[in-house]
Amino acid sequence: MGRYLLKRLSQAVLVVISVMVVVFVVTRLIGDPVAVMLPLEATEENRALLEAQLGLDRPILAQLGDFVVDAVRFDLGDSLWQRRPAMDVVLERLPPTLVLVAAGFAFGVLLGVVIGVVSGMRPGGWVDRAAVTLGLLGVSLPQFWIGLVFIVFFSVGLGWFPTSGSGGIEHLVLPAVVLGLPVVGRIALVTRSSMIDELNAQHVKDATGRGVSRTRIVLVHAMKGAGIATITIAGWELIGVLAGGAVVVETVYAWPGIGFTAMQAIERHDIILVQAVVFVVAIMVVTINIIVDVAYTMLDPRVKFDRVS
Amino acid sequence: MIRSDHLLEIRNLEVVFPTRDGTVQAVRGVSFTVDAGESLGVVGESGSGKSTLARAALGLIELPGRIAGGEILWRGRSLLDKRAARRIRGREISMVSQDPMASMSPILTIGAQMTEVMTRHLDIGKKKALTRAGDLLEKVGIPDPGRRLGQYPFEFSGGMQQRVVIATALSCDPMMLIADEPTTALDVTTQAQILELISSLQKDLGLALVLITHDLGVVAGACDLLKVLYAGQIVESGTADQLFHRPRHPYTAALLRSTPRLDAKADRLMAIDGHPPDLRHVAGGCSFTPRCPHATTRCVSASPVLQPSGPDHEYACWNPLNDRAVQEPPMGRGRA
Repeated sequence: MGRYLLKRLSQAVLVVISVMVVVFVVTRLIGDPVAVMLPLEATEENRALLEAQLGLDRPILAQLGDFVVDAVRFDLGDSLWQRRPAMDVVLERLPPTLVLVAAGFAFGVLLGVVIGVVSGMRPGGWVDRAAVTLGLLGVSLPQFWIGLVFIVFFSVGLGWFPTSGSGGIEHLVLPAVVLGLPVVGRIALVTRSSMIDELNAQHVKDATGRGVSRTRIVLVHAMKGAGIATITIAGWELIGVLAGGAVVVETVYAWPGIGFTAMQAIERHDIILVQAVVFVVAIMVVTINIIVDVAYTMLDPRVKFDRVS
Repeated sequence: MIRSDHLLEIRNLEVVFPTRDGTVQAVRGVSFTVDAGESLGVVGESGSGKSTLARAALGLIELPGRIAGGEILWRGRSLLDKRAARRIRGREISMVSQDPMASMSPILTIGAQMTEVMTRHLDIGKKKALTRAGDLLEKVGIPDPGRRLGQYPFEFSGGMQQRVVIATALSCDPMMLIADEPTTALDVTTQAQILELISSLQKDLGLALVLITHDLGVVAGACDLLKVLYAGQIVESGTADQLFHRPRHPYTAALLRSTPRLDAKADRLMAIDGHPPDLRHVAGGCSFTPRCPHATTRCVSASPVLQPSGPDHEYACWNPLNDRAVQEPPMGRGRA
């Protein structure tokens, strides 16, 4: 276990570094930060001066080398927009994102598993058909659109929740639900189909023949087996929520997290801040992957660390 | 309560499975009884309805399949009542199925799967159940049961795993064990060991045993009485001795000729020509007619019913074989 984790951690460091190299290249392709920062009437000299200040005049490979070396020490440089360490900005904005992601993900997984298990128990029944329809809706409706519809309906129309911003729990409800809806859909569909497979497996039929109760078969035999597939999907979903959904939902609801920050940074061509956000998200993503792999081995005794590695 | 003096009594059982292309009549009017301590062998090729019969006896026919007629009585109570069947399954009647590796959940320990039945049916706690599970493993010949209880099915060989399944089936002291092809998935040497284990446990515990198989060799030594099943019907029934040496039904005789034997000299095994009938479209008359070397017009028009031929021996055939016919297989319809 220790050796396995060590191996996975070193792989994770490589993954993060690769991601940073890609981001470094891409941010330099999408626009010129100096042009955005300077007033329109700035001269060529002003421009050269600022480039020198920011170190943008140096050879690109030297910039990249410094960038990676600094990033490994968690120093991403100063945000061009806020003129203070980009890591400070990201770490300040991280807690609201974590709260939102935790709430949305928990909502998505819990509801998804419940719907999946219930509909998988009686495939083809009306509960199942309703659940599959809802699941497909959750998966296919775009989040920014659901977000806006919810604002119009629940905030403007019914006045139940604030339209945007952060504060008490009432601010959290709509963005968390919108963030979690696609998760509900996918988790429900995957849990449903693996429940159906499990309940039709020979060992479940034989367990019935041995006299194991239906309740225990559903709650222990089938759900533990189905849990393996659900955990895999849940890991991907958490990554999707963190790296994708949060950006959209935070922007729609003006939620002051790193997703919203990333959008602001991109609009302002603040490449340093964009890099810092991606850096932090990449670290969280590889961490989640490792956690999911460890979770497998707890659910499925057939998977052993030494066989995986 | 319907009167029945037998442990298990099946009367005129009919099981059907509706499919898109018509209704499969898997079991067609089967009747038999099993008494306490008795062992019954049910022999038939695949598709003869033998597994369906086993599942029906445990109240395990799943939708869309259903019991279309007849009665299954367990000590006088009907097992067609799902609640009664649930109470009896695992507690009074237990089951061992074909593939031991697929028979238990791959992700729960042997201990957990052995005790879950006991804590439900016997009034004992988890700790006591675990001790009992260890004793049972020892009884079926698994060394070091304490360590084994914490292991998973994939850590056992096929034969060992089948022993675990048998131990689990016996954990609540059932009165009857239904074993559906318990040795088919195992290699030959292991087959013999498992059969021996089932036989000795049956005798030691006074169990009633229903042994279902396609292999006449399997049931020969283990069962008091054999029933030959063809196309969902019993075509012949008798002791192993009667069926092996004086079969009356041509199907039984053909089945014997297609089984490899050590005690008889035979250059080639005789396959039975043709296929079992399509049970979605059952015609009148004897189902074996198209494959039968002795078929006459009467076989096409009318179904033979079981009729006695000495003590315990019954057959359903219009043109039964006599003793001589067996020694000289009639007409060369068989081929290797």
